[in-house]
Amino acid sequence: MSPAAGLKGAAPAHVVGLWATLNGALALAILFYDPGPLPVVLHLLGTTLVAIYGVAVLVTLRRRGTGPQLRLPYRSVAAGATGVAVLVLCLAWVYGVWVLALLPYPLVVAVIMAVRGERLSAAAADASGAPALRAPRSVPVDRAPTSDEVRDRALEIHHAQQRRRRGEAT
Amino acid sequence: MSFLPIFRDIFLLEIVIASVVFAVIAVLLAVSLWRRRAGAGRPPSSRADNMPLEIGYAVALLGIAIFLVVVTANANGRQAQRQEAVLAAADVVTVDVTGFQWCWEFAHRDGPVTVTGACAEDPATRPTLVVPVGRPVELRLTSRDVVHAMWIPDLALKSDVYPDHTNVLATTFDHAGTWLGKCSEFCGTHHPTMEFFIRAVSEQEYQQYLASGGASV
Amino acid sequence: MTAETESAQQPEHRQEDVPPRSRRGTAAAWLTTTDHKRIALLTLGTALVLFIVVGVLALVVRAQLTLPDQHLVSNDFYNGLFTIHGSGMIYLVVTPVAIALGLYLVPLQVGAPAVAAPRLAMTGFWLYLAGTVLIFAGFATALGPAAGGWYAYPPLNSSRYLPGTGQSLWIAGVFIAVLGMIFQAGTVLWTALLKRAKPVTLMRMPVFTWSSIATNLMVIGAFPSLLAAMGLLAWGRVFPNIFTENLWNIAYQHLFWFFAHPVVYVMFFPFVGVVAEVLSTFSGRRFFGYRATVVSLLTFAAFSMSVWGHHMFSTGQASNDYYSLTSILLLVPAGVEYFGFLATVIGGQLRFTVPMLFAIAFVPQFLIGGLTGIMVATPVIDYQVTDSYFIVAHWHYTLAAGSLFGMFAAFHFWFPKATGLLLDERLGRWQFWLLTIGTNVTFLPMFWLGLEGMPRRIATYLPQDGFTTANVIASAGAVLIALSVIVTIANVVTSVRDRRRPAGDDPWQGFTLEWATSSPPPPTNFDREHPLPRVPSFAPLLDERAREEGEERTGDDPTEHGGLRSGGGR
Repeated sequence: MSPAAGLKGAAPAHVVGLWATLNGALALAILFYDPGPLPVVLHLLGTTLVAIYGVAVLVTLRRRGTGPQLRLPYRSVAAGATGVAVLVLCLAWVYGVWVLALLPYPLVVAVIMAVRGERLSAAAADASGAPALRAPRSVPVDRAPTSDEVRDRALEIHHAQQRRRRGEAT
Repeated sequence: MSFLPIFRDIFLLEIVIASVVFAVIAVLLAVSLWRRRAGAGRPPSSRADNMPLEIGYAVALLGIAIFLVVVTANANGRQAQRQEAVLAAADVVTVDVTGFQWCWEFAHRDGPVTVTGACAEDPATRPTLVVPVGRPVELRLTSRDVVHAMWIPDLALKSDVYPDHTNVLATTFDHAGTWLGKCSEFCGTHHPTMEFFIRAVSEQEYQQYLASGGASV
Repeated sequence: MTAETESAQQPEHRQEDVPPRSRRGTAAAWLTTTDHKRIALLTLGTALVLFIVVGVLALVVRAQLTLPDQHLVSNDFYNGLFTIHGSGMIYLVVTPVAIALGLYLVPLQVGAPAVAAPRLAMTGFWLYLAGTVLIFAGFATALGPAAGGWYAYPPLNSSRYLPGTGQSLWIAGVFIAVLGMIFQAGTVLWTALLKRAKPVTLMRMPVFTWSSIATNLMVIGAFPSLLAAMGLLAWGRVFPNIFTENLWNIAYQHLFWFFAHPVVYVMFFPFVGVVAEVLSTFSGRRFFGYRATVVSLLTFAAFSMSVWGHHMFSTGQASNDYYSLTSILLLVPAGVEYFGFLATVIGGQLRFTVPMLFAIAFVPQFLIGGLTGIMVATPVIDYQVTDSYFIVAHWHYTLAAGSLFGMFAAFHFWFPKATGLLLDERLGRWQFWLLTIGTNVTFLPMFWLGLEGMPRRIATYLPQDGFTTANVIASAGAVLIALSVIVTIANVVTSVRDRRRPAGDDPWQGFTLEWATSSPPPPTNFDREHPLPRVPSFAPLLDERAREEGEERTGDDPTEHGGLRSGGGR
């Protein structure tokens, strides 16, 4: 946008970084009040977590991983399976290890789905006839139409046919 | 009574400040809601900011904040000083207060008197902590099981009561009387009935109380 | 039913702008969705149902406390009620709403087609749901639900003093529900920072998006501390002996409050953003003091990580002066935000719609919570009022009279966007007035109760305590709140059932990008029928309208010669 684009481009990382820095400063200020080690450590750990997130943001910026997401997973069975797996783990902790017998299935599902099952490649989406990308401002859609969209489309055609038929009758 | 006056002063100060702030904002809001209703026909401003005003305002707020911080720290310091003065006194009366599920135990170090309450539903079963008027009193608070808190609302006295840790409340009672004390930190099933009485009596009566091994005075 | 078949047979009678039912999709499509809007709606819907359930628990609490010496429920069950009410509202209702509102709106407001890592966001929803199930499963156990208070201090919450399974389920449930919220917050933050459409620079993001950034930074920094605290507590369920040492008890409190003070602002910031959006929309002008508000939100969030010790003033084991200093300094950023609210209204042309009413009421009501917050940030005051009803009143003013009003402002404001249907204004007004009166009647007397010496979390009190009158008043207020919620449910049910009031794309003359797309938005937010408009500032649609008006009137663009000063973009 301007000559200062280099600085501007890293702005998101600066937001996180400054925030973490302010936190670090507050963590050091507490030292003047002789608080014992625990609050300081806690404070610094919290700051560190945010700083790690900030570094991740910075790395992504450097790799130009910014801008709207173009490739999307088209469903998330893995999410549900992960939820179930964690639920089972918690129940195992509360009710005893026998509950763990239930664990393998959701865990395997989660892993398989997360690793390969749910993401269409850009090429596959193009082949399946995703909306055209010609309009300059439209956001590219990188996925197959969902079942309800297909059904919507079918319904529309059906209604049009009905209309035409009734139009002929009158 | 080193706690109540400080609490009252600062609380009054902050209530006054808070009331003024609330009144100003409420009036501003009410007036602008009336003047700026759509029917009044005033077109909306297109101004997006006014930096000098905003920075000036933030600096003024910072001033108020610093004033409050100083007043607060000062009050807290005075309170701590008074407690220290009480603890340093030669004739300090020390009582070990132990909270447990669900009642209190008061052990007087001056005499072999230990009061253990039952804190059943009937208010008559609450234990009474007897202290002398005019002498500095040190309450050493600890717990046998979970975290409790000793609170005497009318005297603005409160401290948490921890297992494996001793907190100290030090004060002087300047007149005789009986007050209700409570547990204010949630501690389980019978938390609501974990109450006690604290009774300030004259020095003479206090000595009598100790000598009689805790018979009521 | 008949309406549905009718419309299927006679499509020409269907109102074209009302979204047809068929767009809603199958259950399977919803449950495995990667659409941030659907994930957010699942989370928000779950949270709103829980709001009602957990609210009913509070009604039982109020019923029990109405008169002295009542025993409608046993002490232990009462403890379970307020524990599940408090922890439910905090972990399962307001926090998820605060984060999921961002999940719904942030991608729209930054012109993104999707949230970053949607499957992670969906995992967040499932974990949250699983946590909810675990917490409520406690009601089915022999010793009842968790009964240790929402902050679950040890040693009380070790297996020695509260042996029930419900307690363990609660710890596990809180752990995974909060883990889920961390996941969702991380994805929303990533979207706002890195996945914006090209023309949406940081300083062209709406105030709500900024509030969401500040919120989610706090989630990233502080929420893991709760996971550690719950881990410690879980350890103590297995080995209760560790809590005979003061070190672990106080360590738990530090870990817990390091999370639990930021969570207070997590439950507050998004609603500051909501109120800012609603106030500026219905004032017909851009939000005044945008830059100052952005800076103050971020500063506020950073400071909020350093104030947790003010919950521990009476422990005798915290650096009270430090926490008092940082807590009181918070009044500066808070004051700057209020300046923005007031200045926006002062220069506006106001339309008193239902969302606007909620946003206006938020301002003075939250102020009461904030001003009493300064009092309890003062150690010498806090020593007296902590763990009393004064505190209960204080944070109900921030959460119920504040955040809840922001939540309903958001609900009425964005319901048309999410469903394509407008809610009934008349019922909305009934809801608003009932809730406003009910909230104040319920929580104002509690300040007085606290000063009179009523401790928190007591299952009953005696007639001679003198708490009766105020408690009767408070319970009467609770009835009004319940009525208001019933009116709300009726409003939603009738609006959705009758489908009579199509919202159109932009029913409120909104300023931000979500109003440029259809209602409900298409799966990727912006498509050929609804392209992303120009984004010259943080209120792009206002600029668009001003430009069109200017062109009509004078044939030129007022933004060119400074007729409209923009707060950002340069």
